[in-house]
Amino acid sequence: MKCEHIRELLSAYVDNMTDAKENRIIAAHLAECEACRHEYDNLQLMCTILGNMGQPELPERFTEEFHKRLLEEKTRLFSAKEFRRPRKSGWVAAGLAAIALTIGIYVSSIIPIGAWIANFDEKPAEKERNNIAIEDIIRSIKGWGTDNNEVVNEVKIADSQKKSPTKIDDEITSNENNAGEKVVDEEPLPVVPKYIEDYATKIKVKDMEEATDQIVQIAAANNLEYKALPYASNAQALSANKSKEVNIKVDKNKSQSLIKQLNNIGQAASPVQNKLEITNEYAQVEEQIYITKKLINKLEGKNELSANEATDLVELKKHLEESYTKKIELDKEVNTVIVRVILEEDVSH
Amino acid sequence: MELEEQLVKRSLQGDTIAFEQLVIQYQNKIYALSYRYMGNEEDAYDMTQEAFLKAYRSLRTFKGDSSFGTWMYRVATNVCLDELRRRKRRIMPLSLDEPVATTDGDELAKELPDTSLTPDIIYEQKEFSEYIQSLLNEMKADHKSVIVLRDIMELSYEEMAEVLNCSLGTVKSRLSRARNTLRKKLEDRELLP
Ligand SMILES: [Zn+2]
Repeated sequence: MKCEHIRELLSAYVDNMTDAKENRIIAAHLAECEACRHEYDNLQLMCTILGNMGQPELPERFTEEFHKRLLEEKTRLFSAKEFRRPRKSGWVAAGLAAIALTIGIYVSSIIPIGAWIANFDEKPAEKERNNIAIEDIIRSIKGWGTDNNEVVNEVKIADSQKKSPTKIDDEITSNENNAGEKVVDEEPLPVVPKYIEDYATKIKVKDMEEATDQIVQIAAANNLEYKALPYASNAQALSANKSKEVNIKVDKNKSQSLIKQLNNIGQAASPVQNKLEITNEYAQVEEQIYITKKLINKLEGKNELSANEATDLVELKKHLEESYTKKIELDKEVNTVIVRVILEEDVSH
Repeated sequence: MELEEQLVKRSLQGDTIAFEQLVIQYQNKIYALSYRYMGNEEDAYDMTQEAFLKAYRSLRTFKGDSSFGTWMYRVATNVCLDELRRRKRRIMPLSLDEPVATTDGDELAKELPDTSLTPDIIYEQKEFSEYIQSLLNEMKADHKSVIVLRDIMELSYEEMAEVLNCSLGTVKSRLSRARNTLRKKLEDRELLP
């Protein structure tokens, strides 16, 4: 075998990941070829050095600080609103449901509740990057007219994420006041509480798969978005033997008739109503609109824009557009009821 | 390992104490891993916190077909690489292999930071580790991750395939290429015979 070929195998050879035949060939070659042997020795030496680099010591404050952040996180995830607004793309449009059923993508369209909850705050990668850019823009514009422009730009992104939008807004306002400018925009409107309603209905069924198909067909017949989960999303049901859940989105005024239809599938308990408050999410979107508008005004008020500022302006306008779209989406959510059908296997028959 | 399974299950039901027990078992490893990815203690600390919080949030996606530790390596790897990618977008570090273009179009040969380090200083263990770390910092993400996971954190190829969500074959070839690049750098700087 050629040296070139042997050298490709050396890394795996160091780790004993080559097979017996390769081992024989490599060993024989190394015994004869000094150049390859040199490379092998160096590779081995390098791996040893890397293995001895030692571990840095985790600062002691870690445990306590993590404890605090974990509790905050828990409050967010497990508060009375166990049900959170899912990401749009997690839902399957029921128009496709019938097709999906017949060609068998149905099973693969099942989305685990974990991913669903985890995704609640996580935008798709593209979107997230966009937000980061917007944050940078907001930060740099905020730094205008101050001496510490560079410092502002060097603030780590992680830090900027910790800042609440309100804080940024405060600073903008105070900067403007210092500069003697008038705040032209009206203050954001006080936000009325907003809710997404959610009915949970538990149904005992003989055949889990069949019942799931029936529910999906009901959703399809009514042209409703649905989402099937491999197990029930409430914590107690996780430990139950066999449970499944299908969520269906329906207009508020049609929810009762849907629940009635669903009750034909099996022995149903009376539905429990939950409310998920999305006032905060709603307020955040309104705040984003407010800040973005303000920054756009600020830029458009300038006589001349630098190339960077012109780019920022385009980004800000795009962000404003997106925020409006999000607001419309949220409005739609508010007018929708999510019916959570929890299926449990009836073992009594 | 049954204990770990129970801790995961209890964490899923909202038991933070159970989750903190899991954290204690892995925090040093995850910190060491983050340190190698990020290259400094402060960032490593932040990323360790982020990784565990992210794990808590997405615990339901943990299937239990790998160990919690392996899954945790995966979460932390993604958190660190995402952060590095995010920063790169904004800061645009210069690659050491590329000449620096000056504003009027001339090209300057870039000074390498290591030329001032003589081998005998470098071979002081601490400096040497720091020096290797600086070489790691320059590496491409996919090369860096295999070196860190295999040669520093000592994961098996199978575990690496799970962490990086790729095939064993990819792990093998990527590791081979990454090690070659690093070996050549060390040889060029006469840190290997
Ligand atoms: Zn040879």
